[in-house]
Amino acid sequence: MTKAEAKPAADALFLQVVAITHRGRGRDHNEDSIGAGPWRGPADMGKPAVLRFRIGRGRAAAFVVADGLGGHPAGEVASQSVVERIASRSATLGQDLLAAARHLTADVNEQLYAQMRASENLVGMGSTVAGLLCSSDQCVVFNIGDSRVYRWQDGYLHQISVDHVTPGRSGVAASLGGAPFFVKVNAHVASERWLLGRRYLLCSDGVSGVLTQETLETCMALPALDAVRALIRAVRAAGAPDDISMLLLERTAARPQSPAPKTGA
Amino acid sequence: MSDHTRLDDASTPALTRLDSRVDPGQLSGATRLDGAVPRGASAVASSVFNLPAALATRWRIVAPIPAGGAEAELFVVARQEDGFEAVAKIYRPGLKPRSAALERIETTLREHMIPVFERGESDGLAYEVMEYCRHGSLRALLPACVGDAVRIEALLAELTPALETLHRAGLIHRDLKPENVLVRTTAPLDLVLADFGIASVTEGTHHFTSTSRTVRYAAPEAMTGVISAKADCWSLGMILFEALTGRHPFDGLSEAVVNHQLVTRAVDVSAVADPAWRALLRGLLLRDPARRWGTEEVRRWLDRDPGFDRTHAPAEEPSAAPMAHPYRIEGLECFTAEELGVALVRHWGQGVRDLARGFVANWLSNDLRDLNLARFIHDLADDTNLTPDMRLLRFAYRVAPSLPAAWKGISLGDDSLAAACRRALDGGAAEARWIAEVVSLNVAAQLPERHPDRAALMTRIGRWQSRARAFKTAAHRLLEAQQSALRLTAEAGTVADFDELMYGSHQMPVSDLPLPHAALLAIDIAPSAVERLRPLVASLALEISADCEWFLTLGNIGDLAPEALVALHAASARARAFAQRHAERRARAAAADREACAHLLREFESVVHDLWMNTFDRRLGESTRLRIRQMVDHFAELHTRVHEPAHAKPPFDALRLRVRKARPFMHAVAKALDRLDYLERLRGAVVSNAAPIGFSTAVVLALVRLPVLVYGVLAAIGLAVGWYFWERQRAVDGLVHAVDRLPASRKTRAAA
Repeated sequence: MTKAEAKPAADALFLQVVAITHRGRGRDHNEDSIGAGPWRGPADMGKPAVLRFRIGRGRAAAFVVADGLGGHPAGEVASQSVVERIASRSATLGQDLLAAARHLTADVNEQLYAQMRASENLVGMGSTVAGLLCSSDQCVVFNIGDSRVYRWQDGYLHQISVDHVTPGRSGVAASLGGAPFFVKVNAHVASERWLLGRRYLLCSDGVSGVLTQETLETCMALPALDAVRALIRAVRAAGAPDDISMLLLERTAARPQSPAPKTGA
Repeated sequence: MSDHTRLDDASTPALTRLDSRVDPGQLSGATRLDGAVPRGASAVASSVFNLPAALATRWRIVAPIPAGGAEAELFVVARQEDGFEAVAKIYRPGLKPRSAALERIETTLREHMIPVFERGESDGLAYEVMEYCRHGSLRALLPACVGDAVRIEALLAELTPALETLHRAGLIHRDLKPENVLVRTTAPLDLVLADFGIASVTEGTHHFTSTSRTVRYAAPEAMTGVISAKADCWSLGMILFEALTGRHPFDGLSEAVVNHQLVTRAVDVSAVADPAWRALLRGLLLRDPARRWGTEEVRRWLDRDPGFDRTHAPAEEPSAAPMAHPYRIEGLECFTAEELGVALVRHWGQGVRDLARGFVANWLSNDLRDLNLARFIHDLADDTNLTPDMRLLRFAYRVAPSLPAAWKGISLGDDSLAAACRRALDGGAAEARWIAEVVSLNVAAQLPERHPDRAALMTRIGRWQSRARAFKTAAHRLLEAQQSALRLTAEAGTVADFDELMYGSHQMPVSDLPLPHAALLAIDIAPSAVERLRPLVASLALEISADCEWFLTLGNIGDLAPEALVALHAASARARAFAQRHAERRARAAAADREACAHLLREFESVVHDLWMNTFDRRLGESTRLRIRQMVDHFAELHTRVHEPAHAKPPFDALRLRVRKARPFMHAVAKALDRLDYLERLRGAVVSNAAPIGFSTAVVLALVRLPVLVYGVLAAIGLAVGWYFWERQRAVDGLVHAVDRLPASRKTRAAA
């Protein structure tokens, strides 16, 4: 028994996740992908899915939103590949989530380049990623590119991710893959305390780039499922120029029994 | 100008602080006797301190001025013979005003100085007796001037000649600030300067200048100790800025940050809209004393000199921004965390949002590179007991500890609290909410431990809590009285809707009573606002006293403690509703009574009417008599009903009287009826029994030829018949007479 295990660990963490990924208006396919724990979102979802998780002691799960780079080949392949690889490693993240997040992103990056070497028409494909790893007593957020992680508390959204963008230029300054030759990436990684009442919103720039902070906050004030629906409506009302993907993660006190989701007080 | 410039031995005397805890506004305001001098303390004061012998014979101490400084004691004194009040300044042993300099100032500045009646030395103490300025200092007058260009110009027109004279004489005031300008009269405005030249007039540190905030009025060059007369012009500019905008540009900033701003940046005068005033301020607040406007320019500005452009002043030379990315909030640029704290408090709503959204933390860590502060914000976010507003408060006082206490950008100073109380009592919902937050969140406890306003606020909120307890007691008594009043009405046999009357189904537990925070706080700081409630409550009590007795259960409203008064005020809506319902119920009962009365009256009249109709035919046959008998019985029943206890009320009085009047006649009717019945019965008996015997007797007598006896019998029969008719007629007459005399309305009679 190691020292870490000897410590009284927190009890299981109960989560409710509302997930949606949907192609933008006038686009023929969805270049975004989402994953929550072992679950992988289908290519294009008609309506949001509500998922419930129980993360027991010593277990961990990854929640990710990946946005395939536009203007590069095979954006959807890249984002799917990112989500798939992260989801497949979701169960084996280990104890130190901060380190796990760094390794995970570096590995996924390398694998993307390996994929490109294997198939010529994938060369240059890339994806952003915004993710949250959590175990029963730890929580880590990470991101590469302009997909965002927001912390919601007391009615306000605090962006915890750091956008990898160069001011004055379009496109992202860093991504998983995204170049014809291997480029190392450094994910932004931050540790979080997931207190009751805090919610996390992982979204692609199809959401955060379209809505103002105020709109986001207004929508987020609703119960989780309604919040996601309101966000989708707001993005559609704004024209939905890009694919819409988001995960809204919420801690629940215990496994919710009633179908009505409990919102953070 | 060169003779004005001198190098002080003390490098920054203006910054000398003796007691950083004392707020100069309050201190000097009190010094200038804004009417707040505690008279009750005089006995104590005179026992502790006696006037020097030279004064004691002619003056007596009225009250000490509690701002006792390092250098002198101040007293309000009254002349023994006529009670004329003045201020005595008794210097501490060993301290003396440097008379040569003082005399020089006095001779040049007589117009613009506070008149000193006498000066001397007695018992080894130097003393001065000077005029007592009841209006206090300019500090007290400033709030009334805000935005009023005419008054501010009058103010400037008063101050300018004083400075002109002073500067012409080669003197510099050096510590010009609102606290050092005394108001002799307000209309016309007559201002005098007090507290001259810190180092040049008195030895030791002058107490008026002994607080840190003086730096807020000091010119930038004062930091170097090399100053000229232009330093006074800077101070004048600052006073004008405050008068024009209602705030000081350095509000809430610590001495260090003020100095930093003075060195690095021009004072932003864009808050002043009027171009002439803005130019004046820009001219007076130029950091370079050589370019700064002096009294000469001010004089030309005031006189509207045609050769002088009033709307144009030399611009401050741009200084290099010390930082690439200052934090911008609502047009303010912040270069330090302290400035940011002040700006966030000033723009509270935006501040709360920025803090909660992480913008502040990002700026602190990325631009200011203060990771400790960024972590502090992070920890605040982790404390889920705090609301976003409280987090901003914590952050602001962490970075700007010298900020005056404020909640949501509104000062927690006495004046501000009192004003909020008054507005809340006038129905201002926003102010009421603000006050409720201040006391229920105990904002004072959120202030840093060493904050100068904290202790006073804590006591204030503590007092509020004890007031809240007294209020609850009174409110509890009221509720109990109301509930027992409800029980009473319920027992009186009418329907009482408890739930509705009690405002929502359950008897409200006292702990759930909404506390009128504003009113309870106002008891302390704006007693007049609470006293205003007294006539309101009293007139309400008068209005509803008949229908709502429990409202008077606390006693005579004129003698009530303020808490009880507030409780009454809080219950007044409830009482009004109660009284209204009670009155409605009473009205309903009265209407029902009237209805019943009218109904009985109609019955009575119909009885009388029927009697009339039935006695029209004087034969009064069997059936008629039966009907009359029924009417008499009906009347008897009516009589009983009218005299039921439920009808023992005024509306029934007239009816009762009539019924009572009718009674003897009805009695007579009944008697006559009895008589008639008797006669009829007798007749029946006679006709059926006696008549055959009589006739057979008469026939027998006729047969035996005893005519005399026959006549006798016939005569007897005739007599009996006559008696019968006579008796019957009498009874009928009696009956008709009685019916005639029945009290009935004219209508009935006419109908009959």
